[in-house]
Amino acid sequence: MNEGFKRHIQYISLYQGKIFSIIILGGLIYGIFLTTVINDSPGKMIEYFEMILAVIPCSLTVNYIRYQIDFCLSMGCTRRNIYLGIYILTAELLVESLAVFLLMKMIASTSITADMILSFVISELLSATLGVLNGFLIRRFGYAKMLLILGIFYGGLALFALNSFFLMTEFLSSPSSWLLIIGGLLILYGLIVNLFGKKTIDRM
Amino acid sequence: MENAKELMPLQCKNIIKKYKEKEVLHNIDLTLEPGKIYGLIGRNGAGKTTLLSILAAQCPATSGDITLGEETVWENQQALSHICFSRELNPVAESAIASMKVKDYLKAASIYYPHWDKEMADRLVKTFELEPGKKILKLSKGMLSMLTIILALASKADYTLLDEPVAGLDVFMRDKFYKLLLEEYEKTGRTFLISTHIIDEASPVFEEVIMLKDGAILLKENTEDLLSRAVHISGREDAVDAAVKGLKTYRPEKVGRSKGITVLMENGQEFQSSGEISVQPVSLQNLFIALCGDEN
Repeated sequence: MNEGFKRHIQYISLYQGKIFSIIILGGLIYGIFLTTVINDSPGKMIEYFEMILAVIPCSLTVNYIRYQIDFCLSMGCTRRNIYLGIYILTAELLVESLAVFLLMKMIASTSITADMILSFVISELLSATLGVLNGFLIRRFGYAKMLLILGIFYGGLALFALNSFFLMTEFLSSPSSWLLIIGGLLILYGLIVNLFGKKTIDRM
Repeated sequence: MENAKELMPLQCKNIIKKYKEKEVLHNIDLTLEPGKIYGLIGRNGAGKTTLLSILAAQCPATSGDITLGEETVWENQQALSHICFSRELNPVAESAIASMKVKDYLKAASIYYPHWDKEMADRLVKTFELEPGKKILKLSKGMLSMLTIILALASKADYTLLDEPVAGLDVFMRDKFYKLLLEEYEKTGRTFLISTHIIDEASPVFEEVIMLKDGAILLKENTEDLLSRAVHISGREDAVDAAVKGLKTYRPEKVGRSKGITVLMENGQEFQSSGEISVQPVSLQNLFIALCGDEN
């Protein structure tokens, strides 16, 4: 690992510190609010929370691309290391979301079925993998090939979702289906931020 | 490598920069020798910030190379660790620095610059009376300049490029900056390239001056040598014309039958001396106006 990359990672950690704290604190408050004030069913609470935790980590990457790239460049960071930063943040979506997910489970003190966890992990894993893949594809092949590959992927995903929709009569009421949708949205999000990130870096 | 690099020049060769179809830098060839303080002067829009930004590999050149010794600077973290570009801070609401406090900014700088001098940064924060806990968005123009100066000096980078470091500073703070700069230069022999519009005030610290005009280098010369070649001649028009015959003249000014003109002589050239003309030395700022003004 080169020295510049180590320094960049150190900065990313510093900048994420506050946001991580807010996420964990927010999660705790939200969990307490749900269990004490709303007194909602554990199943519903899980769904709400999954949606929220799918959105919060994304703000890290958005913030990085919108606000941090220019700053990091001004501090002498290379573009290569900034790209690597995008991959890392995208990959972190997985780890981070799981951590909050487990925290939420503790707060809700409810039983979670194995298929819910599996669906969740798969969707997050897909999102993170694709996020990393996006960065790789942009660097190696440019927009056209990347869009082609992602088009095929999204096509497959859409077919799978439609198939699930027709086969499963209670599609939208199933937590797994929601997780699939959230996973899909995360993937879409990964695509957009990486496209935007590439454009932002190249413009500078 | 580290020791050798101290002696290596930072060079740019055939740098061209285009923004869409507009060419803003034309075939720039420039060598910055180690251990000098350079002044970069040019009118607004001459390409100073773009050139500094390209030298620090923060902005890609359309064509041409930047090298530190034998190594290319572009995307080279090792080479970049020897360069600090302290640019003007513009903390608009939608920027990373807007939400940062002074201490956060300096902390980030300490991470990125491998030779960061924390003790010096802390000392300068006190010298400039900056509040470490204050948000950058709330700093005045002068305070922002102080922060860029702290970054530049504490980075301890071998090549330090400063873009308008004294913008917004009052005369006392500007004086303090020049003293700090010279102290640091004497101690370390680092190379500084400083762009400024406050030319006369900064000219005593410039060992060499680089004049940029319309995206091209008009001249790069030792400041003393340059000023020794320049004079302002005034007197009766016919006497002045006779005195400057065959010389390069700039910015003629006529008042009635009197005339004043700036002359930049080539080495070995002399003007025709006579009792009818008055000869005055030219300041760097006046020479700059003469060479880069609209009249030419």
